[in-house]
Amino acid sequence: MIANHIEQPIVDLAEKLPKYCNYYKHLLVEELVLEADFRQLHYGKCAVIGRLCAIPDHFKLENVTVPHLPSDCKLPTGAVSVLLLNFNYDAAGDTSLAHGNYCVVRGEVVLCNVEQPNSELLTIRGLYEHLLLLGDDNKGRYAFLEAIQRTHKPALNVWHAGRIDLAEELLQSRLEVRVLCHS
Amino acid sequence: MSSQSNVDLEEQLDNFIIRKTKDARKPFETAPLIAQNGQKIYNEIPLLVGDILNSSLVPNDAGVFTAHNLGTLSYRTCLVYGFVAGRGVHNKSFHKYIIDDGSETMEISIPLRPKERKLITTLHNEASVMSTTVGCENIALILQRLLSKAMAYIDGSTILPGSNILLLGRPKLFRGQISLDVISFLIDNERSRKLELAYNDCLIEFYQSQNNSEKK
Repeated sequence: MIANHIEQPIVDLAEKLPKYCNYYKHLLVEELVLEADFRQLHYGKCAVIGRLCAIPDHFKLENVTVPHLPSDCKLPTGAVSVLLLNFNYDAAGDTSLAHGNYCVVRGEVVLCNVEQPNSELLTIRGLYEHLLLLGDDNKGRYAFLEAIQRTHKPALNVWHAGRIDLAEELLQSRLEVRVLCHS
Repeated sequence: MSSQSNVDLEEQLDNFIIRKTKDARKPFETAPLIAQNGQKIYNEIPLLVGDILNSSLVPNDAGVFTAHNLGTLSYRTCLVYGFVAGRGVHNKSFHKYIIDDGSETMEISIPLRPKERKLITTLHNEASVMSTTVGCENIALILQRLLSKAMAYIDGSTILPGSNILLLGRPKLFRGQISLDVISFLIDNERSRKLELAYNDCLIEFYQSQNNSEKK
C-alpha cells in the first residue's frame, strides 16, 4: 500500500504554474493591453514607460510610440492605455509628476475586475490555479477564460513612479537592451 | 570561561580562525591583464546583472570571472546601471542595496569609508569657520561646495530605494551567491536619464562587438 503510494509520480502544482518574475522587466503598455490571451500575460514585476493620464475617477498609463518600429506596427502615443491601481502622487516618489507627463511606472501586473469595482484582484497565477481546478473539462475552461476576458482587464499595481523627459529614446534603448538579455 | 558573554567569545574566536594568506603582490602593483589560460582580462566593461550572475569564478586567477553569454569573456571589474529596488542588511563596514536592471536583481555593497568621511567633515567644518573671516569668504564657499560634492561621491547612505545608480564594481562570490563590491558610484536622478541612455548605448555596442568577434 505504502509502496504504491510512493511509486505514484509527484504532481507538483508549482511546476505547472507560471513563475513569478522577481525583477522589473521592461515592458510596453501595448504588451499588457493588446494581449488577447490572459494566460500569456507577464506574471510578476515590471517597469513600464508611458504617459500619465489622470482622469477624474482613475489613473491610466498611455503608450508611447516606439520610434524605430516599422510604420505599419507603430501606434501613436496615447492610442492605448493600461489602468493604474493604488497610484497616488505621494507614493510615486516624484513631486513634479502630473497629468500628461512621461514616466516610468514600476509595479506588478494584475487582472482587475472592471464590472465590479473594489472586488478582489486576480493574478496570472490565480488564473492558472482556477484553470487547473477545472481539470480536463475543456468546455468549462473555455467558458471560464471567456468570462474572465469579459469582466477583467490587465492593470498595473503601482509601487513606484518616476518622471522622465526623453521617453521615446529611453523606451527604444531599453527595448534594445531587452534583446540582449534574451540573446 | 563560562562566565564570559557571547560578545567576548566572538572576539576571541578570531584567534582560532585560520585566515587565508594574503595576496603576495605589492599593493601598488597592477593586477595582471592576461589570465593564466592566456585570455585577456577585461576591466570596466558594461555588463547586464543577469550576465554577472551567470558568470563563474576562474579557478587560478583571483577575482577574475568569466561571463558565458558573451563567448567566454574574462573580466575583473564591470560597470552596471540599474534601479535601486531595496535595501539589504547594512553592517559595520558596508551599505547594502538590491539593484535591478531589468535582467535580474543583485546585492551590492558600498564601503562606508569612515576615514574619508571624517576627513571631509573636519575640512568642511574648518571651511565654514573660515567663511566668517574677512577676505576668505569666497574661497571658503568654494571649498565647502567642493567638499559637499566629494562627500556625495563617497557617502553610500544618501542612496534611496527608487533612485538610479551607475556603478563600477568588482563581482564577488560568497556562499554560492554573486554580489558586487562597489568601487565607485554615481546617483542619477535627473529627469532626462541621459546617463542611462549613454550607458545603454555603450552596453549595446560592447555586446555587439563581442558577438561579432565571436562569429569570426
